[in-house]
Amino acid sequence: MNDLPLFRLILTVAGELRCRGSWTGESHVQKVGYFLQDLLGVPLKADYILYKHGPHSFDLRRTLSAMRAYQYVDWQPNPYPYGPTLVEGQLADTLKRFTQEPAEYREQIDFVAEWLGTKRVAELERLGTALYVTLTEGAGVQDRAARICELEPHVAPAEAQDAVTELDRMIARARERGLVSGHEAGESRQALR
Amino acid sequence: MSSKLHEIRDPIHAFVRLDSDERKVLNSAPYQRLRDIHQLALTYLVYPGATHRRFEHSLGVMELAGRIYDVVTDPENLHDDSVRRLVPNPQSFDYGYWKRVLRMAALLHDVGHLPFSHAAEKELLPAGWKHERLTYDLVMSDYLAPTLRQIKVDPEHVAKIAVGPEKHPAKAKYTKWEAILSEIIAGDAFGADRMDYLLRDSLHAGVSYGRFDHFRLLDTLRILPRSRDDSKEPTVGIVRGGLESAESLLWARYFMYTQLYFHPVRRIYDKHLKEFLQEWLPDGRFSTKVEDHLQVTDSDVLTAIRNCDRDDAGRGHASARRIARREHFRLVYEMNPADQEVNPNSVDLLEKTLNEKFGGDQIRRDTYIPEVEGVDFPIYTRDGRIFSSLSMSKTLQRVPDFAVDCLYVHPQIRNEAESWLAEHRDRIISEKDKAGNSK
Repeated sequence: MNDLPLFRLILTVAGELRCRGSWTGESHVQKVGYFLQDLLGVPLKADYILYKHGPHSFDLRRTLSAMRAYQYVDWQPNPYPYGPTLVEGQLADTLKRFTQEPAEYREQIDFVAEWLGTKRVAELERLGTALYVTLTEGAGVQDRAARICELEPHVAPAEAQDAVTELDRMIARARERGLVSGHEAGESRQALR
Repeated sequence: MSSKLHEIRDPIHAFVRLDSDERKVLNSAPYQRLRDIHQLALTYLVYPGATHRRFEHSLGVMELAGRIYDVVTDPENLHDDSVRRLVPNPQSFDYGYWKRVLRMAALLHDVGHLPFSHAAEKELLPAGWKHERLTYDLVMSDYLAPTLRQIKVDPEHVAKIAVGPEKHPAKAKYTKWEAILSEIIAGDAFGADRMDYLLRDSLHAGVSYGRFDHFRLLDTLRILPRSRDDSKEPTVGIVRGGLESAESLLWARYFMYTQLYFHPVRRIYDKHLKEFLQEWLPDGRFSTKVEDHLQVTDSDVLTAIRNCDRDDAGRGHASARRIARREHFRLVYEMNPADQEVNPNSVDLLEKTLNEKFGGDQIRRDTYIPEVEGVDFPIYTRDGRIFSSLSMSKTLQRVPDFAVDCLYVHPQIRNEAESWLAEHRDRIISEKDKAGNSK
């Protein structure tokens, strides 16, 4: 099946998030997937849009659904107010036996899991929206923060500014480590220059 | 707005009601075309009763969407401040406006369907096109937009709600309210589209699995904040009293997929139809011009199939013959958990070896994973708290996701292929894993 390497990649990402104390709900996987793919160039075959609370990929949702259908993952319910956690399914070990670890993306996965793994969902939503605004519109910190508040009216201005500031730090660190590849640094993406 | 109310009899909802303004949209050419688009493609070759059309389904979706709107916007049913801020006041202009937009979007949500509905639109449209893009273009076209403006709704609003955020051609940002309205039509769990097609397909196919207590479910729907740690995203959920009917809906969906939509003969007819259309259509694809789209219906395709069946030299003759004379390919293998545990590539390997043994033109593969989700939704309890459905319902935890991956062969080699598979299957799929081990 052509999708097995993708399934293995997502299984690895979810595992790394769990290792760092994340409860690994769908929101975590969605937002972390956005950073991995659209910032660091890890191919998740996921088209992202700005949805109710930040970037969201229906493609990634379908991939998770397919992984559950093949029993590579499952959803484990949690007590209120947490959503379900993505855990390994009955055939996860079979998937691992037949696929290689995504070694070429190890650094990117570690970087994102380290940075985002312990964050709460609302923070991830703000950071994800900050990255969306940065990648699509660019501009300075204040303008991007204002744009976040326009797109997500429930986000307070101070929270939006914190998100942009943290994102810029994250991008700078990723660049220092050579993780931001050329295609992300397009002309319209000023913050990445 | 005209006050005259019209009633249309319907086997699911008893009556579908619409006013004279809305009837102008019903009478438009794009909508009337749906009288000749089968809801379930060639399924009627397997389930003879399943001859219903997108026309009546879309009327049903409009009726249900309007009823859902009335329930979820009732001030008594708003249980959280974040939701109260979202929903228009029933006395306001916005309240009636958005209800009209929602009903028109529901009525028109399927106008972009190709002949025989979903069958293989990925291969039969240019790259990046889906029927929702045609729906969008039709709503914005001169066939519909002037009528919509005449009845005082913005066509862009109707198109936006009809196609939803994922399929919007310009990836427009939806407000939370627009996202909720779109969810009322096409939501994973409780979308009016899904509710209507389960009930209607079930009735016409004579498969009782699709039934559930939709009257009870409708009354218990609410817009609720879905808790995710410290985040509260609004979505459509239910009050506790609707849990059993929601469970029933989600299991109905599972059974309808496994029993009806994934019926192996129905699926192979879709494949033969796609092959026929690829040969018969100019350049192997449907046109994406709205004028051309309106000219082609199921009747045109069926006539072509009959003609090509009679003409040995006609384009698409072999595929036409398979459909017209029921000489469809036969199922010889379907993916199953036992073989998947031995080797996740089992279907790939069997397909490859069958191709080598019998020739690729004798073999067909059908792989499909449905676009369904939605067992996790918020539930408002009697003590005023909101829980995830997965923490409230052991039943919902067990609703499987599902996929099909099947191999078919030409009817003439069916027996030989089955015998050959029985003899060689286990050896083929026990191919070594990456460490060189075989199970």
